[in-house]
Amino acid sequence: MKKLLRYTGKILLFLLLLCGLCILTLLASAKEPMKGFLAELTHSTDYGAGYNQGASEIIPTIEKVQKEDAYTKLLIGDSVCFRLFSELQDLNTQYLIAGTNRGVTMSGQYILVEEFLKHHPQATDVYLSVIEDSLITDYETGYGYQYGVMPFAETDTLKLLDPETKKQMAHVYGGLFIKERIVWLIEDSPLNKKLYYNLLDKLNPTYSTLTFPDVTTRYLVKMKTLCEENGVQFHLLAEPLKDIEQRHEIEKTLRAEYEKTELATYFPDYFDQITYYPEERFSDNVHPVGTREELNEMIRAMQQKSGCMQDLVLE
Amino acid sequence: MLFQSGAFLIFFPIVILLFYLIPKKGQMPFLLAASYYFYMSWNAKYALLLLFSTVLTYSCARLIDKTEGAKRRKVFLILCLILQLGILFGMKYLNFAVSLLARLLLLLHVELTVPAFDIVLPVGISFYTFQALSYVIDVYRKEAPAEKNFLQYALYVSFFPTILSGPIERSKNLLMQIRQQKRFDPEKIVTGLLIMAFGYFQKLIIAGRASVMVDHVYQNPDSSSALQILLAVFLFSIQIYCDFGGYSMLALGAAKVLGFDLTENFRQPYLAVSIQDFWRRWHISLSTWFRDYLYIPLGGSRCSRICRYRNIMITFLVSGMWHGAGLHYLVWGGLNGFFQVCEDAFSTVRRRLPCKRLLTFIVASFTWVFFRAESVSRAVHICLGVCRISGSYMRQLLEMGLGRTDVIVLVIAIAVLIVADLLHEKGISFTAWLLQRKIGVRYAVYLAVCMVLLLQVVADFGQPAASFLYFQF
Repeated sequence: MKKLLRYTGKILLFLLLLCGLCILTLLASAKEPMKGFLAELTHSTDYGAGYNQGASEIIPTIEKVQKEDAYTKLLIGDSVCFRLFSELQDLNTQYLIAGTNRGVTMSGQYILVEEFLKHHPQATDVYLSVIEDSLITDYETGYGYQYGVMPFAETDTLKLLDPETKKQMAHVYGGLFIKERIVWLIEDSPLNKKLYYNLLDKLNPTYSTLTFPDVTTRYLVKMKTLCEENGVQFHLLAEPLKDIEQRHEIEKTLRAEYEKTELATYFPDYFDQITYYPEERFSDNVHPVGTREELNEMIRAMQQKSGCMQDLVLE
Repeated sequence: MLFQSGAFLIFFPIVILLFYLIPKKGQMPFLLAASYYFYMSWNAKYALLLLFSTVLTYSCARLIDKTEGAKRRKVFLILCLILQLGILFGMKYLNFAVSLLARLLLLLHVELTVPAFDIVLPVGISFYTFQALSYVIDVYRKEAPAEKNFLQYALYVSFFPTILSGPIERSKNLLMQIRQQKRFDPEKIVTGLLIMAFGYFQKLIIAGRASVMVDHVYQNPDSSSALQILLAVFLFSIQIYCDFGGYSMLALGAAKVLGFDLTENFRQPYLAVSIQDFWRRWHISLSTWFRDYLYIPLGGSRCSRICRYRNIMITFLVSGMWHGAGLHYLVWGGLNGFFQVCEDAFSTVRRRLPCKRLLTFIVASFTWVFFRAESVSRAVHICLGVCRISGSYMRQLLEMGLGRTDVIVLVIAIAVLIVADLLHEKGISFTAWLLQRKIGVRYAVYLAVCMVLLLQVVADFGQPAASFLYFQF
C-alpha cells in the first residue's frame, strides 16, 4: 500500500507534465509554423480557414452597427432577412441592413441593437425580421458556438449580456470556452476547433425544440424595452414561409406555444404577419429564391401586413 | 469496448487501481467480474455462452480427472469436444456449410433452398473455445491438474486482456498465475504500459494508415495500377502484423500491468527465413495449439515423408478454416501448408537461395492476398493485377487514399517497427534499456510516447474506432 501511494505521487507528477505538454501543443497549434504542421498531423486541416465561418461572417456586422454614421433605422434578422434585404443596402441611406443568421440567437441580436443604439443617438426604428425557426433557436451545439458566442466574444461584446445568459451559455459550451482568449485559441487553431466541436457534440449535444427558449423571450422583451428607453420604435416582423404542410404544422404548434408566453402580449400580431409562398419560391426549406422583383414582392407583402418599413426603397 | 476506445481508457485505470487496492483474496473474483463486464460491453447475451462454455469445460475436466477408466475418460473428452466445437461450428460455420452444401448439390442438379441463419458471431469465440479445449485435453493427458476452484477457472477462460483475440493461453501458464496473489510491482506496471504503448503505436499509427491504402486498392483493383496493387499486397502484410501484433502487445501489456505474464504471440515474423520459420513466429499461441493438439496427434513429423506432408496440409487447412468461414481462408491455409511442404521437399535448393528473409516476406505477402480478399477469384484477380504496368509512381502512391503527411508518417513508423524488430531479434530490449536510465530520460521518453499517441488519438477523433481484424475470428 505504501509503495502504491509513493507511486501515485510519481504518476501525478507525470500527468502534470503531460498536461503541461498538451497545453503547450494546443497553444502552439494556433500559431504558425506549428499550426499547419499540427493540423496536418492530426487530420484537422478541414477545420482550418473556411470551416464554420460563423465568427468571420458576423464580426463585420458587429463592426457595421458600431460604426458611427447617419443611419437612423436598423434592420436585423436571420439568414432569410439577409437573403431578402442585403442587396437593398445601396438603395437605402436611412436603413442599416444587417441580416445575419439564426445561430446568433436573440441574445446576439440584442447585442447588435444595443451597439447600434450606442453609436447612433439619432436612431428612430429597429426592425427585427425573422422566421419562426429563429425564435425557437436556443444555444445549440451545432451552429450556436460559432454564431452565438465566437463573434461576440472576439469583439468583447459578450459583456453586454446579463449574468443569467452567460450562465446558460456556460452550461452548454463550458464556462472556459466563452472567455475571449480561449475563443481566439479555438478560432485560430484547426486542431483546437476539431477537438472542441467534436467534444461538444459528444459530451453535451443540445438542440432547439418546438418551444420558445428563455433566451428568446427574455431578449425580445429586453430589445423592446431598450429601444423604448432610447425613444426608438422596436418592430418584430415575420418573414415569408414555404407553403408546405410541415410548415403549417410547425406554425400551428408554435402559435399555441407563443400564446403561453409573454411574447403574445408584447408582439401579438407576429404570426398574423406570415405569408406563405409556393415551394418553387424557396431554395430549401426556408430560404426564398428568385429575381430581385420576386423578392421585392415578398417584402411588399411584409410591409403591407406589418405596416412597417414603408419608406424602404426597393428599386 | 475496444482497447483504443475512450471507455477502455476509463475502465482499465479503474481496474488497475481497485485490483491493487482491494485485499489480495478478492483480487481474482474482482478480475473475473471486470472480465465479464468487459465482455458484456460487446454483447451481454453472449456472456451466457461464455459462461456455458466455462461450466461445460470445467465440469468435463473435473469428471475426467475423477474418472479412472481410460474409456470413460475418453467419452467425457469426446463429449466435451463435440459440444464445444459444435457451438463454434453452429455460430461460425453453419451458414457457410449450408451454402457450400447447396452449391455442391447444385452441381448434381439438386436445388436446395435453405434460408440463411441470422447469427451474429460472438466476439472471441474461437479464442476462448480453443483455450478452454486445451485445458480439457491437458487434463485428459494428465499434463495439467484439473482446477477445483470454479472462479479461478472462469477467470482463466474469460481473462479480459485475452478473451477477444488471444493469445490462446495454456492452463499451465495462465491458470498457474491466477492461483497466485499479485503484488504491486511498479517496474512491471511501467513495462506493461510501455508494451501497451507500442501496441497502440502499431495499431493506431501503422495499421490505421496502412488500412486506408490497402482498402483503397482492394475495393477498386481494376482501377489500381500494378504498383498500387503491389504496394497494397505488402502493406497488408504490415497492416495485419501491426493490427494483430498490436492487439497482442496490448493484451500482453495489460496483463503485465495486472501482474500476469502471457505467452509471446509474435516474434518478428517478417524476419523469418522460411514459411515454416514464419509460422514459428506468427500467432505463436495458435500455431503451438495446432501443433500440440492436431499435428502431433496426427503423427507429426515422426512418420513417412508423405504422412508428414499430409499432416502439415491438414493442420494448415484446419488453421485456415479456423480463421473464417470462407473458401479463401481455406486456400490461404492450404497455400501456407503447400509452401512448407515445398520447403521441405526442396530443402537443399532452399538453403542455397539468397535473400531468404525477403523471399519469405514476398511469399507470405502474396498468401495474405487470399486472406484479405473476399473470395478466391478476387484474390487471383489482385495477384494478376501486379502485372499491369502504368503511369507516374509518386502520383500513384498519393492516389491511394492517404495524404502526403500520412504517407511520410507511415514510412517513418514502419522504419521504427523494423528497427524495433531487428533489435528484438538481436535480444536487445528497449524497455529494459530504458528502465535503467535516469528519471529525466525515462520521463522524457514516456512523455514523447504519450504525445505521439495522443496526437494520433486526436487525428482519429470524431471517427468510429477501427476494430481489430482478428476480432471477426
